[in-house]
Amino acid sequence: MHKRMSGFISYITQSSLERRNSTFKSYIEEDDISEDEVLDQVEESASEFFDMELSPHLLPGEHVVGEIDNVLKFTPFTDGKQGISGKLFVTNFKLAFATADRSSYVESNYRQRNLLLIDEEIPLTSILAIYHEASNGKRKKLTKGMTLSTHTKTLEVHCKDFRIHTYSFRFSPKVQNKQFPNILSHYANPTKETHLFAYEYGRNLLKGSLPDSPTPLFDSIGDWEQEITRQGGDKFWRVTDVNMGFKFCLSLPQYFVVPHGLVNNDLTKASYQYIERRIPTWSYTHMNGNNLVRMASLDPNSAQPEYEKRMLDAVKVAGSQRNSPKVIDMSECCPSLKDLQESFSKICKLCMTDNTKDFIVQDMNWYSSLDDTKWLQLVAQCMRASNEVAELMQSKQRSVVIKESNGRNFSCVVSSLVQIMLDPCFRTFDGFQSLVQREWVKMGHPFQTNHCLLGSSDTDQMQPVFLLFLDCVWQLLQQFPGCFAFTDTYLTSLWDTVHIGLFETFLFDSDYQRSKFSAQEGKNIRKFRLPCTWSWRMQFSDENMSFFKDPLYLLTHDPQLSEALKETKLLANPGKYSQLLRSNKSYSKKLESILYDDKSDSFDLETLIPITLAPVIRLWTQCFLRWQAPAQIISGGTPSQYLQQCHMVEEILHLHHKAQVLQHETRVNSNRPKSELIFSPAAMGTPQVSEILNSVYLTSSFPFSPGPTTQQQIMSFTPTISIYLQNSSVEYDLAQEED
Amino acid sequence: MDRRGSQEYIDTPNRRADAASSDSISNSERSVSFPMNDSSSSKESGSPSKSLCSSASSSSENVPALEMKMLKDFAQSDESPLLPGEVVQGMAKDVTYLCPYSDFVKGTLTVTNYKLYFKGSDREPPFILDVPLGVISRVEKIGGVSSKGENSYCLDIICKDMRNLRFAHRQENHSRRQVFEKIQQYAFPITNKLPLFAFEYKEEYGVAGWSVYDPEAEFRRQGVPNDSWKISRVNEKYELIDTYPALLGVPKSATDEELKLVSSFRTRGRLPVLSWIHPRSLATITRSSQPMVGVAGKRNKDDENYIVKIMDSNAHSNKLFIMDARPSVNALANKAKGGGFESEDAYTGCEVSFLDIHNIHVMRESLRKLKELVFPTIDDSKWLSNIESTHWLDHIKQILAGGVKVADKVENNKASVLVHCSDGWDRTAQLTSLAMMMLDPYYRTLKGLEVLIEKEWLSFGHKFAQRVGHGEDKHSDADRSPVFLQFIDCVWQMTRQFPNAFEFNEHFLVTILDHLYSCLFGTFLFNSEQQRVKEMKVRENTKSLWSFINYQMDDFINPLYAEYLHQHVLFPVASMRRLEIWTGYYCRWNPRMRPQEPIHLRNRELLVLKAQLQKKVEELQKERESKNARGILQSQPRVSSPVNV
Repeated sequence: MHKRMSGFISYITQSSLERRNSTFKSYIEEDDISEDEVLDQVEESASEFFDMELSPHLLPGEHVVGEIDNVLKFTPFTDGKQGISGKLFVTNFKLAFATADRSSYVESNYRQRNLLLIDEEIPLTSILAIYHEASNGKRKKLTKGMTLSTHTKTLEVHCKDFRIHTYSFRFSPKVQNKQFPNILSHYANPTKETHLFAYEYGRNLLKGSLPDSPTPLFDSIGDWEQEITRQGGDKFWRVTDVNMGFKFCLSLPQYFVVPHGLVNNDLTKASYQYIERRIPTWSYTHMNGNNLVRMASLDPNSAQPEYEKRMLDAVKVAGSQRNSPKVIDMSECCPSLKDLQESFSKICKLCMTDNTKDFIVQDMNWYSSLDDTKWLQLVAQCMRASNEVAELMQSKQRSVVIKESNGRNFSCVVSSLVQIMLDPCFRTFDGFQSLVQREWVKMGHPFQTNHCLLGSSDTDQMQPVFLLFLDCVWQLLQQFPGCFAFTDTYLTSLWDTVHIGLFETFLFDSDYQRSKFSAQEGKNIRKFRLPCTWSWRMQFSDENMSFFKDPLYLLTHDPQLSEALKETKLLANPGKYSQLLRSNKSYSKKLESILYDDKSDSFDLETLIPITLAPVIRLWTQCFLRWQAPAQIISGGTPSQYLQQCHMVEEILHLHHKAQVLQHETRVNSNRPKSELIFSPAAMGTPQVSEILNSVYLTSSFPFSPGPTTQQQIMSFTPTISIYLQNSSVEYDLAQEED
Repeated sequence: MDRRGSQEYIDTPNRRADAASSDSISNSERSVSFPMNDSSSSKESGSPSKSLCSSASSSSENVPALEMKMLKDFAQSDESPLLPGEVVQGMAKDVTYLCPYSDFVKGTLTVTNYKLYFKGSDREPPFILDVPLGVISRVEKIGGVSSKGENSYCLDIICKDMRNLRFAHRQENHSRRQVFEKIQQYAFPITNKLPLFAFEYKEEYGVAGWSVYDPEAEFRRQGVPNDSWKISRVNEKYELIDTYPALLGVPKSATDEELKLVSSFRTRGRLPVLSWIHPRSLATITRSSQPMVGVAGKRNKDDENYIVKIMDSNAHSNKLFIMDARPSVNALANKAKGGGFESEDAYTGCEVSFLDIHNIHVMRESLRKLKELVFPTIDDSKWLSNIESTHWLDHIKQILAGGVKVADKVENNKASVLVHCSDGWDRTAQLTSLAMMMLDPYYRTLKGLEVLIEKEWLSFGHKFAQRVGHGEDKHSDADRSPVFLQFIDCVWQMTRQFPNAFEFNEHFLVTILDHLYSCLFGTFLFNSEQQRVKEMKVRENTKSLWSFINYQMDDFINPLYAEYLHQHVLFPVASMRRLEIWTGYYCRWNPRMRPQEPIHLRNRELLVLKAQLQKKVEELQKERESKNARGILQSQPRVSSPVNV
């Protein structure tokens, strides 16, 4: 019975044992210490910590609703032999593990930290499933309304970020042991929307404390008009206020865009023919004047289907080519929600394991299991559908109308992907975020329902259309490096943000629901709202946000940087160039476009049509496998490429600046261009960055996972990422002086 | 046409084209061949044109405008560009290339003593296919004189590099037979008692590729001889072990007599000798063939003592790990044939483990299945399951995992490891060379990998001629097997996992594989050092692949290589989750598989920009210094604000 515990090694006990010149590990291996002795040691040192007062950090409106002492949190893939001890709390917002054992906060354990969540805190909305193992070894899933009567040995919490947290309650007081899982289950499964913590949070947030969104929210006519004008569609399209007060349609926003030729009365009449009254609405106008429009299917009970023709005629007239638009039915070219649901549940099972044995077993037929989840096929399917639409618009000069039953799921995927493929603007931070805001948030993608934000017990029902979309974008990032301002780390962080449950952006199913939320206390005068996801600073510090930025993109697209680099052509000696470049002609052509071309955007690949062949569509390992410690590449993986690129960009900027100074024989007025990347001189001075540099052991899961989990994995040779600066030609002191 | 003006163009694409193949440096310049015997350009530049036909050449599809223009210019010249020493053997007009990816192409097919050259006539710019005969595994006639229908009277060319080619002839032209015979004759020179083209190829690179590997220098680099290891010349004339190199690293106390006795107890005399020694712990990797214990469990005191000497040369560990690359079943089965493995009773202090890597026949079958999947078209629907069913990645995983096990013992346990399989020239070479790459950053440089291949593969008698089947018309020979390809695949997997730990790029690996088959260089010909050096004198009579590569090293450099980042052991993750099908090699003939925006190009931009700026800064600094110097000389007071440089 004590077998499992005997192997348990806490960081606490480890340090105390190390003082005796031996590690716990070796005791386990050599087996020359009795199990009882180990147990005593664990308890002895653990109790010192258990006695300390621990409490979780609380947000406004948050309060503790349950707690349990003497909990051991296992380190994944150590098969219950390693972990830390502490106290587990459940609040109305999260599950929080508090420990006096700070070993998880130092050195190798640095990882991306969310400012709203201290390490080891899990928002209840991001729980995928809770499994309970009774002392008799029986394992079952905690479901809504279930009351446990047995004692809990371990509690396994599966999260929507694909992480598993396992807690042992063996040393916990009996009363707490019995209560805690029930409390957790109760709070993790609110019976109605208003029980979500966000309501409490919004009520308690100081009105002035919310930062303004840097991204247009499309709450106003102005935002919409600006976007139509930017795309050159303002001649043919207008913003309508027909849905003011959501009297017209509950899932469309208050403002949306329709053909100029239709007055509000036309819209109202036609709307009765469509499911949810979602009439054709504008998404995008291509440079060639063709439009992308989305709509719901006709209501099967529709009495006057001729209205559809009238609407499509209006769309036709709104296109510069006046071709009749091509209608593409999402039900024919995209997966169904049921496909997605099944696929997600399978891929979760495949990518979420926390013990070595399962990991090894899964590895044996990894590829066929992955095939069997069909996840990559669904990704490819959405990309193919988007390719088709993009090519129709671009090469065949057609306007396209995307049709889907209620127009709120795969329409979002395809319309946004098409825009990203056709318009480089949507590959910037602001562009991408405004796209998500416009095509998903405003157009009524049911985030709350699809991501099961109302409870962990029915997560088999997860239909993560948005994750599928992010995966498609990730595939584009892979196929077109340097064409996006953001990195895979940004996309993964965005996914994690969807289910935090604090942001108005992703918490609701529609704009109507969102507005009801902010209006609910309208009578008390004080209108309140929740923060929006695009205010990233609420969640991440500058240095963590630097990992969102793509260095290759920065170098060619940042106005300041590309401007600075363009000047290098003044001194360029073509002979020397060809010397350098002689081995690669087309490459030099590209380089010329950076160096010689005056149009700074000439480097943009205007249209990105991805390959969708199966061998090219890859698993988004950063998102899905980041917690799978045995699959972590220590001091390698794509992050090592990323950091090297960051460093090279920094060196280039430095050399450029140095040349400037030399050339003008005096200090140049303009400061050295700033990259805002991790190795930039400006960042270098901050304690946060030096902490990262000196404590992070780079792995393929950087910056998400805490790095090598066991001492054994951190070999003497494993350097921290400060090594990237070892041979740096950047003179940091100097650069700072000048700034 | 202004020759002078085109000089640079000529030079550039030439050198790119030959270097061949696929996506490594530039996907756009992939494999377009250009004439190399352009006399005017050679004369003007005063240097030989360094170009060869690409073994990987494919078509002129996807060639950007600039290259198109050049292609056009050259296409109007000679029918088939020739290498020095290359002679046209036959030509057939009105042949149709049945391209699996695009419309069929009509044109002219030329066969030389080195390559097969097809030039389309119905397209501008012309479609060009340029295939060294060395990659051809077999040629088959499809359809007879009476075959009806267009394109039914064909020649199928099955290649070793994951592709097949099909040319349709017209019955009335009687061209098929001629082409068939010429290909049969020159693609299989060994069978026909003709010289391999490498012996005809006359090119001067001005780079000494044959001296890249100097065994003594490499021993010295590792610190041998030292207190416990020496260089033995017992095999100097290849008389003791004909498949071993001339120089052997052996325990210092081992006498020649002793070596001979030990050798007699090992299959083909391949006794345990040094591959690598850890610079600090002095733990070693040694390699050998299996001991001949047989069913009776024979013992040999000399062999046992010798193993003890290897163990004792490492002060850090009183244990020697013997890693038998085979599955234990196979190792046992070998006892029936007089082989087997060391028993832990007889060899005290030894721990034997089996690394479960399958034999050459299993590997050959696996690659055959893989080829069916990737060529010509890819079935999207069950891609991943199909890949799994080839087991190719399972084998790669097993080999990598074996390498990790060896490296782990040496690095983390400071223990010595002896690696063997049956003969010790296939799986053993894979394991020792991979472990050495993990342990020693030197082998992750471009020259380091060249040395590693020369040492662990060529000098230790990996039977390249047999495994590849150079110049022989025996496509179903059971001795053929993609053992070396697997090694290069494993290296590629490592470069994927550690993007800045390797000095060379993917293009380098693909080029090595292309010339593994091409028979253009002497490097991979024959089965042993003895055959190459003593019998065939390849150093005198052929060019080394490394001359060709080192002549244009820039093309093979990984722009992200950061030496200082990885001066330590690399442990790749041998999990399926981190292994991938090397599409850049296996799927490269499929134009739809080519990346549109290859990352290595973008990375290389960074490197070039940096180099440019560095140069500029240096020039400016020099300028400034000389200016200042002049200023002092003329002792003119000079007012300038202090500048931070």
